[in-house]
Amino acid sequence: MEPTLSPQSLGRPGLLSDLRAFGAVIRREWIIFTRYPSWIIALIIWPLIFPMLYILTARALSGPDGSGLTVFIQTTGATDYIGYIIVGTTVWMWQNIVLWDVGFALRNEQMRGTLESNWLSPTWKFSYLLGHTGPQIVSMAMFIIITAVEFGLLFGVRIHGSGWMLILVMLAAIPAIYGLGFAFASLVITVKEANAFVFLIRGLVMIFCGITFPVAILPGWMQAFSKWLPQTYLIHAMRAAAFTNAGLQELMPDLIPLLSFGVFWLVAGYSTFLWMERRARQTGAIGQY
Amino acid sequence: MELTTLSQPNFSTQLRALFVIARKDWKVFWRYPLNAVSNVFQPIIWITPVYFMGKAFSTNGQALGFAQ
Amino acid sequence: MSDLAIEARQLVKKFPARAGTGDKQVESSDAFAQPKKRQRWPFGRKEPKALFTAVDGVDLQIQRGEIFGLLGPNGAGKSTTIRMLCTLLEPTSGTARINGFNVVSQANDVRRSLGTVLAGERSIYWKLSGRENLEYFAALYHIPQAVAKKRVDELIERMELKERANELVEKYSTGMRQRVAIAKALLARPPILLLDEPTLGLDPQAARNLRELIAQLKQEGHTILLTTHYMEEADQLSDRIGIIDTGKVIALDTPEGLKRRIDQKEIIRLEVTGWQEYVGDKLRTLSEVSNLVARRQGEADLWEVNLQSNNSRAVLPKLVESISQNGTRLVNMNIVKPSLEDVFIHLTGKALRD
Repeated sequence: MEPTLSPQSLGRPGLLSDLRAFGAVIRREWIIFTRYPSWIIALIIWPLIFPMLYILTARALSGPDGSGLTVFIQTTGATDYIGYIIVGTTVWMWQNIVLWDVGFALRNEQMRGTLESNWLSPTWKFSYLLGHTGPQIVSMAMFIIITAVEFGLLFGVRIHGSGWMLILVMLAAIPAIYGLGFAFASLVITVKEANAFVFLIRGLVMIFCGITFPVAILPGWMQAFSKWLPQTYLIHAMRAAAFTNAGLQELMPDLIPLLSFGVFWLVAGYSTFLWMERRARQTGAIGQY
Repeated sequence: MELTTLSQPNFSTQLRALFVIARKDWKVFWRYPLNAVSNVFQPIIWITPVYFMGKAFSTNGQALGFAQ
Repeated sequence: MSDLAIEARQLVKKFPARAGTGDKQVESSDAFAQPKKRQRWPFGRKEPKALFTAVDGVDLQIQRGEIFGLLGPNGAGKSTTIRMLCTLLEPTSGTARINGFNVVSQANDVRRSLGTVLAGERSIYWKLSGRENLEYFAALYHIPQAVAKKRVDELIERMELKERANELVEKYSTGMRQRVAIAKALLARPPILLLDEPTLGLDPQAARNLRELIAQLKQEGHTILLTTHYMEEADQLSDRIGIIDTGKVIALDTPEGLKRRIDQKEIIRLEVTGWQEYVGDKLRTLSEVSNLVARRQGEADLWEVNLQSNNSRAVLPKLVESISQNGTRLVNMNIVKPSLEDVFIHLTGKALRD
């Protein structure tokens, strides 16, 4: 019997099909995310739990008559200590979640066994990380909104500045936060003890970026180090935008370094990904557990 | 030929099982040395924001509000 | 276009050796390395890395429309060879072409030409339905949306998944998940299929159905490279078989051609109780006996002993006499035609499942 199969594949490569493949990755991630119902609980509970540790500590430090608060206001310039803390802790949570979520995206696929079948397709490989980022940004936006709502209702936290400026600042931070996630995701494929690196990076943010205190309080050498972390500028800019009505002009000294770090981390993230892809083809890491 | 099991469960073998599980976890823990070492630093990392926040509430090293 | 669907020339793959690798193929990466005194760091020269050779000069030429079976025990290099052909692994040296495209420099063209089943049920998303999995991968293979919808429906029908196509894969049986994995491989209608142990873990009926499907796919014009360590499967399906062991193809022929290599030998299959190693050593000293392999059957004290002989009439009395001593008893004996397993034993001196 004569073979009936045409040697031509059904695939039609091109920009449109690349975009469709990218959209398929986003859709897949979103569907899988929503099929684990515990995400709802995580989204409601976690915005409350982590900041409460520091808020209650701050309450204790204020004293029963709130006299300690005067010192805090003098030191930080912030009248709303709860809002001040929430901005810092939210940035920390954002980076932390991106490291675990985007950072382990490829590794989780590798452990599941689906990384190989994705890698076998002719799609641009970076789509898998970019596509994973889409739903992650949406869920993070929900996290931030829920944080604002919960603390607004429970503690009367209000944004006194421009909400649009606040959103602009957060958008400006996306390249840095996610670029770091991409670099991490690529390294995790070959590094066996990835958890330690998550703890290290989020530990640096916790110590050096002023999540619950102004960076000016740190010793000189720690302040110098904090200037190398984009989260420092993000926290400072978010506080300014949210609580002091800072405009674009006033935010520039933070936005420029933030965007510069964003460019750096995106380039570093993509370069690390290319390196990992090449290395994985040499060592067979894609199929390894 | 009939086979008889070597398993003879009793209180002391149950205790021994608990012990070997703990020993296995201890060995595995140290076989990820970076993770193990980072666990040593975790308390310092978590306390640091509280420490510096305390400094923001303090004058000349004294947290007067907390002292009340 | 070349008549060869798959072509590999002197494919080699070496990995850095892990500690405790007892393999003979561990070697120094520096061919001229002399034992040197360790020089002071950081100026001293590092000692050469030890390398483990997983694939050692494999040559394959697979014609269009052929089913080619790659047979070998675990660790022989089958999966490494397949991974080099499907672009997951870069060869250390040598070249390979799939559908005329080079696996290193034209990797995306190779991927468009291939449908691959590697990890079976682990290669699909359990939190997606069968249909969602296929729609997802159809997009990754750049199949236009309208075409993809029809193709997915067609494959769901063909794989008999229609009733449960919209249920999550986590609720499927192993056989159903494997069918989704195969449907995924067929989505873009690739001319070439690579199937790595496709019936592993399936029940006999599911395995039989899958073999029938593979035969149908050949009729439709697909070229299929199939790896397996199931002799019967390779024998039944393959037009030609390559036997691979320790990274080398040690024999390549049609199934009948391979069996003819040991036609002049007879295979004597014994079932024995109370087997002892010294009995095997004693039997191996008989001049008419070659390639003796003994395997325990399950938990009971029953052993299957296979040996090859060029003169069964002469050797049978000696076998009976040597075995029936000191608690070892002969329970059953058959003289059988050589199978592929016997060919493997003849070529390597060990059983496929060792």
